Amino acid sequence: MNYISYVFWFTLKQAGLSTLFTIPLAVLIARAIVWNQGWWPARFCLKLLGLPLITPALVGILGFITLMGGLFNIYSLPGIVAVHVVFYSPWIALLLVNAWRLIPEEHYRLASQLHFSSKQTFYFIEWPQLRKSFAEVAWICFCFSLNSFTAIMVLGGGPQKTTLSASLYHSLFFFYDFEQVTWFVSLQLILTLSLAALTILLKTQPQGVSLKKPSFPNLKDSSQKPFVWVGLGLICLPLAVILGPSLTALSLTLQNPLVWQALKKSLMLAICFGSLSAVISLFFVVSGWRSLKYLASFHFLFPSTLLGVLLFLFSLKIPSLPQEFFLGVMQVLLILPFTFLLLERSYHTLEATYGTTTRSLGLSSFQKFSLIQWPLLKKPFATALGLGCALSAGDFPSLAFFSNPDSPGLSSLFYQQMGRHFEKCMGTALILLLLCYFLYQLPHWILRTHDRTSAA
Amino acid sequence: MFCSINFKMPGLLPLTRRFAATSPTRGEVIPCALRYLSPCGRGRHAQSVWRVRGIVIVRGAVGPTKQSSLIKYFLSLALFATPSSLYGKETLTLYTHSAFVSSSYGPGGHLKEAFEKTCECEIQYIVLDTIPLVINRVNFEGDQTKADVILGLEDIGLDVTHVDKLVPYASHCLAFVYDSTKIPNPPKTLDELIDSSYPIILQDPRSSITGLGFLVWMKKAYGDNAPQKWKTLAAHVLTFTKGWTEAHALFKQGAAPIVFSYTTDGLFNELEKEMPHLKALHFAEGHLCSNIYAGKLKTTHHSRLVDQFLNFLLTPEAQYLIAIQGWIYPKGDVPDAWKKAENYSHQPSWISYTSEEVKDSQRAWIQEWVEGLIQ
Repeated sequence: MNYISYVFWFTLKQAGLSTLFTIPLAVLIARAIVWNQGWWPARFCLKLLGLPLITPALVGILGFITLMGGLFNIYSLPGIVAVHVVFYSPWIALLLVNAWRLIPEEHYRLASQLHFSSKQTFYFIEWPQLRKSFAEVAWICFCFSLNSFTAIMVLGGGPQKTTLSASLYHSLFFFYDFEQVTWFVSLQLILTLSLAALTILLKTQPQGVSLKKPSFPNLKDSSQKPFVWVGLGLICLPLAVILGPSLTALSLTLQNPLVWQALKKSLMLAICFGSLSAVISLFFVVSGWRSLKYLASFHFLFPSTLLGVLLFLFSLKIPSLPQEFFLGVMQVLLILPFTFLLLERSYHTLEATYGTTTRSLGLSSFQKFSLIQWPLLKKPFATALGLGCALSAGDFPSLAFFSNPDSPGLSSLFYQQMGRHFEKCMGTALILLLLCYFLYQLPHWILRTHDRTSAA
Repeated sequence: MFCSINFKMPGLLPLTRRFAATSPTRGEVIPCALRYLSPCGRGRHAQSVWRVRGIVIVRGAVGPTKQSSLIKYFLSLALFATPSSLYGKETLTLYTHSAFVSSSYGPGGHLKEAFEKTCECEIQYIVLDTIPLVINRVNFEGDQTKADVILGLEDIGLDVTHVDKLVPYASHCLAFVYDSTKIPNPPKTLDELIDSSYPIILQDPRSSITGLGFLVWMKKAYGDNAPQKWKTLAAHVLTFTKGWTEAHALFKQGAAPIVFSYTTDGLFNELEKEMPHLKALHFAEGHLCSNIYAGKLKTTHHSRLVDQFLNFLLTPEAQYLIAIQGWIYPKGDVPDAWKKAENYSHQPSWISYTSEEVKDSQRAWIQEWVEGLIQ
């Protein structure tokens, strides 16, 4: 087998294995949460499931290394698969909990009248309903692992443990093997296109959420409670283990002028690019370009490295434009689908509820926006804004391509410290983490969203 | 006067840009002349593809020099800079890597001080991350280069296109460094090490000169059997890192008990870091070693001064500084402090190879290595 086909094969293999382990775990966690609704750890776990999305991947990986470093060789295929499982399962569980909400309550009532056991309920009621959702999330998980970049950059190494994305980056920036770059880019392109074709063929893009406010049946099964703890452990442990060392290192980190520079830069860029993505999404949603939904729902297919390489080649053609411009384009393109889908979902509900009323009142589009839409879209917009800013601050792939050597962003500084002065990186990790959580919450404070609008 | 150099390129040369982007010299404080930095910072060298921006550090405070502020520029000149050009001092520009000059490491600063006492001149260092980068830059600048001398050239990756004269001023040998608290009975030969099961951190020969050194070592030691030996070794290689620094950071974290590095690491760990348990493995059959050269550029305008500097490098005083601060073998006697150290042993015997041979077969060897590993 030659090198290029080996890399292709390894990419598929690690993605397949990651999916194989993630999905059962996510199903168990999601089911444990659904079946123990009334129990506070389950409710808490449900709230935290989205956390890995806004946690910078690099910080999560640092936590993973600290947690698992002594147990087995994490710089290997099992390590790469394990890190994917730890990161993707909470988030996949969140998607699954949403799918669970689509099961009509009556089915569960019937099951309890028939005295179904937990296993029988799963087999007769949940499995037939969720089969399709399982396939969908498995597909999403597979595609995400396939395009995984950050985990491979940290845990991979050498010709044996590398994926298309990572070797594309390495050949371009470190080995200067442009023949290989061409090969990898073409392969990545073919892979992405064929995945898109498969997605359309299998009709597996994620479904819309039902209009009915999801209500959970009152289910109880204490035997599943351990999986709630597993879920909580997967989310919290990697962050908890770095908390202690990072607090000790913090005072030293704060004395480093480079960290302050990077923090300032990341904060500025994140607010710029995050709000830009949120505003563009809002514009698209309100102005009725909702066909973009179809395009945005394919976001999990598109590898960030491919986008990075294309933009990088552009940036060579136009050297007069600053790096930040390309960084911005890349980040906005990467964040846009997330913010767009979030707003689109709320807008969809809003239109279904108030659409006819507004039309019958004959409101102008400005009146419609200011009186009806904005008050109800404020909260999802704040979430989209926060998500955009947090994603931008924590994003590593875009900085890997467009990091300005004069002043690195916080994530690229952190990556550098992780590889070079490990003892210094703990404090930076904490700052990066706090920055992302702060940016996520900030719009909620500014826009003063409260629960009155949560019905949207 | 202290300043730090950041390299920023306008995007014409992706290779060099990326190297510069990961340069550890960023933000590091290194002594160098303001004279060089300021004109560049003012953009007078607009025709040059390289732009250099200085961060002037005065009494510990850090702030980028404001390129727009003319007043600050003159102020800084008037207050701090020694306008050496007014005294007619000659300036020697040395291109080197960060192992030679950095804030906490390397003989560069001491050598500069010692040499400037002997001449009416000034030394300025232009520091890049690694030697391949320096070579890249000189090749890129061609006849326009400001460099008079390149310091730190090695037999591996040696490129003499623009070099007039090579003076070997030191040498170093590659070796495995291990943690003796974790490995009480270390392997005594390369064979034993390959057949052992200790996790090892190596460098990727495609991106690291140390990694390339080990590739050459394996090839020289085993010839056509090298791929099989690599296969056995790879079974317990923890990971191949991008460069030496990353490998060393992983080793310091305790990710593996053995890392590929240099023979003098044991000495450095004992005398400088007070960690005598981190020792180098000495193999009786020989190590891959390399001369370290100073290269005089063909285009230099200070030929006499360069020769004076090259002679100075070989004086006992300079040799002592190079050994004690740079942790490489001097050409003459090793310092007494080394001889008394627990981790000291004689320079190992050299495995024979030529730099031309490495240059010619490098690509084929790397190809063989990659394909051997993935089979």
